[in-house]
Amino acid sequence: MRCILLLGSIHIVMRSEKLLKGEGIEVDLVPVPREVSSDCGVAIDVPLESRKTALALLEKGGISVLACFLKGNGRFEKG
Amino acid sequence: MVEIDCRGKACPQPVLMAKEALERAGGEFLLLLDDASSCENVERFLRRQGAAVEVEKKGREFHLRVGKGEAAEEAKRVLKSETVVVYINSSLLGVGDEALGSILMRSFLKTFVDLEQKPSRLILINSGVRLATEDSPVLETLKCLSEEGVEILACGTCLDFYGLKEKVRVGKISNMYEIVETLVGADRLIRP
Repeated sequence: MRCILLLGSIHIVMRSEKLLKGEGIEVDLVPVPREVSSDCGVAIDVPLESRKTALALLEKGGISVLACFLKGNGRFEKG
Repeated sequence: MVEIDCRGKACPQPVLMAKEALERAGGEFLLLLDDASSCENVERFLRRQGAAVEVEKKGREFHLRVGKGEAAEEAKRVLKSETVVVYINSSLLGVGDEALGSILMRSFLKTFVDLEQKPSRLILINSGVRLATEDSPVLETLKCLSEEGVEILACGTCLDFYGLKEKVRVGKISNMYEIVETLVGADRLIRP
């Protein structure tokens, strides 16, 4: 199970990736899934177990997460 | 029945019109032609796509009655069996900011994983070969595509140039002969 974090812009995505990687969190960048938004965008993908830590780190870094989706069996649920 | 009027159209227009009609047609359609060689070309094309074709000569005109259902399904199947080649000549996608280019390339390749119709081959040239090496941010994506049958060819000369031959972790090291053959043999070429 993965967690997809939607952020406000590509610049925020880049900053967040750097921040999370620096803290040793396994981060991947993925295209924003079609099920979630029709906009062309890039989202942050973290393992579910890192979700809480990642959200806390982003908040501490002053980055607000627009939405968090859980990806399992190809389906998305807002989480 | 839908009529496609190809009378007075020069080659290859009738074949293109027939192709479009075949792709769109949910039902049967009738093609009107007034040139014998065009008629042969169109008939040959339609049969190759698996369509049922009946040709009727009416004076100087040719009426091609094209079968439904099967034909359209067959056309879709043929479309799927097309050789689609993706030619990647840089580790970055697009021209502009490098960091953005890298993100876009990751995003581009990951999207293929979710696509139903996968390309048959992916060619990596120049700095594009970095994508298949151990430090690549898309290594897992390429491995996944490779497992799904997408053949990944990395240019040997380029790997040699960048000193990356020992670091290739997915696909195979290829040469210009194979690369050019692949490009020439492709039905469709995608160059991001």
